[in-house]
Amino acid sequence: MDILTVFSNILNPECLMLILIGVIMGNIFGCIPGLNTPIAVALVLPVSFALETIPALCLIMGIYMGGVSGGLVSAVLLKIPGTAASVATTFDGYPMAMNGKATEALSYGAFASLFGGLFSAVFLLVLAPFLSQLAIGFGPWEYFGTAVLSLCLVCTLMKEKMLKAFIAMFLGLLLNTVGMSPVDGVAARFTFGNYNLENGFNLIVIIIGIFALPEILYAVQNIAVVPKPVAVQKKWIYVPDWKVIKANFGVMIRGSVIGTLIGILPGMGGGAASLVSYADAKKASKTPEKFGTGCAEGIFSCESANNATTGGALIPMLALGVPGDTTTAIVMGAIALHGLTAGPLLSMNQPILFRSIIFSVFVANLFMFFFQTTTIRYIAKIIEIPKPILFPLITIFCVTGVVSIRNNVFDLYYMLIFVVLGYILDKNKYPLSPFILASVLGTIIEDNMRRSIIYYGSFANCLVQPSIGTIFFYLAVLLPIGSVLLQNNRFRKLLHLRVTPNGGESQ
Amino acid sequence: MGEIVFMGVLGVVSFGMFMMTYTFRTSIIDQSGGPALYPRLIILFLVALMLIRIVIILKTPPEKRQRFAFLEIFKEIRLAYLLQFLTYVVLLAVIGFKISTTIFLNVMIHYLSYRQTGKRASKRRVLGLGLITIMGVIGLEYCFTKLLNVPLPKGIWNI
Repeated sequence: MDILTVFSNILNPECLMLILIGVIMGNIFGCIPGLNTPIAVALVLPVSFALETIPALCLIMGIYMGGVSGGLVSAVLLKIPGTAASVATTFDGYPMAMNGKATEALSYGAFASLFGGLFSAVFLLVLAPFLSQLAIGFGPWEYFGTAVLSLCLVCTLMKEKMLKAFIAMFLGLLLNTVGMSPVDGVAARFTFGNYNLENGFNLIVIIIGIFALPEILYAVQNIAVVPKPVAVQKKWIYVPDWKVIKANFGVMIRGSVIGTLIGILPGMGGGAASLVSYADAKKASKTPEKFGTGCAEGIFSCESANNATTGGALIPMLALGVPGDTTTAIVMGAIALHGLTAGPLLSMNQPILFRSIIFSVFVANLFMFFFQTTTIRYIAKIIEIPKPILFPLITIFCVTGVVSIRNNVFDLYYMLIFVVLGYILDKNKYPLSPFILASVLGTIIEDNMRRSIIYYGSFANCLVQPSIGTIFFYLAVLLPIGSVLLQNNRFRKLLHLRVTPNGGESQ
Repeated sequence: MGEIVFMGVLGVVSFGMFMMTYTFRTSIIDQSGGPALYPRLIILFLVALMLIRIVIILKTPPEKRQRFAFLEIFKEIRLAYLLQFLTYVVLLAVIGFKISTTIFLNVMIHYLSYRQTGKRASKRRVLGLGLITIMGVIGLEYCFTKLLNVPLPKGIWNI
């Protein structure tokens, strides 16, 4: 009867309404350039605190599913991706719109988003419980290894920006040490005697300060630029023709597989997935010369991949307690707000909640599709909201959200520091996702490292344990070193590998 | 050059934090290395990476170096936005959410509209916007405080 409980948890008016509100909000934030899903999720976190756990997570899943596909509208109509996940959609979406087929482009994107989202949700349903069963035996050393590996993987996969990614990551880890020390709770670290800092920097404040406000700070300078979107036909519903769906079914399957697998890798989001899927679809296509001119395959490949990352990213979050991307890192914060910890123990101690989260993903994807296919031309109008009104509104929502966490204006002062820091990092090409992931995982890393040292006697003893944690730790050390060596032309010649044009110079 | 300065500032801050770790209290029964171990490791790694980055920047020819984006925050519209935001944050605790948010919205919207269109708003528009923002802020405050039970600052006049 568990399955009936899961259905009743989600299929009730409150949760369905919250999923719908989340999808609408996610779509709006996704389609407006400069705003994105992490900002939307961060803004509702204080609000979600007032809700029960399952309704709160329904709202957040709605935003997550809606936000990733929301970027489709501005990508097709303006050639400006609403989110990083829709960069590749501009390659064929905008040319198709310029050819007078904006309606078709949007309907293809909406359907592909549904396909990718549901595909990865099935993977989530199958893999997450399996992985969490495997991870139930994890001790502190295994958790430490997993967290360290996921952070190093995020940075290593950044390739040319690897050094900057590691610097951002260590900066995030350092700022995470502010507050009372874990394990012993004896030392107030780097608080300068200020009791407001004894609990450290709040994650929501960091996210709003690093993500939301720097984008507005950057965009206000170009306030005079007013984009004009391509017109959309008036229709009741925007569903692609069945023949087009059938012709691109294979493309969507490939894109969804790529998106799900990339989503599982920590720190890799829809942006990377859609670009990889686009390149793969072009390579496999019988008409690669049509890519970039407004070809349906291009849109189907990108949009199925970027939505497939949502389910993929939730797999490590739910199963291992390691966020798959920035949004799932914030979702972990939401789960923590309700006194729970994402990870294998969640499936063991709260199996109904665990399955309810997965089921809400299915429902959110369906709502996202129905909402997009019926309201695309209205969503297109949102892009035209005057920036002089939009930016101040977002600012006060950010401020209200921050103040509502602890009713402490002090949080706003250090948020300002994060705004400046976020601006400097982002505009100087320092990746932000390692910083955010480090802020989420920092306490887990230190806590489990110190517990491992207590258990095994010393750190050196931990390194020789026959455990998956040891394997993960060595991988975390070797992967970046291997990546740097492989970028070096002299080393590549030694291994008889093809020399790259930029090899020999690291970053 | 700007990035080297940024690394330098971070380096100085990191050094200061490293020295502060020697003032952390430690439990006598702690066998995990103490509260200072982890921050010291992080600082050492961070400083090492920053030094590598500085070397790479110095090895890059000046014409190929990218301009460091920082000072532009303190120019033109961005500076105005930051100052207005800072004023709003300061006033929030003093005069409360309703008044400070209404003032902020009106000032910011009119300023940004002027920068976008180059035209000042008419008296009718100013009045209209003022009324809309007051009603909007009251509604927002009601939603947060009464519906979501989230307290917001009331200020010295308890409004």
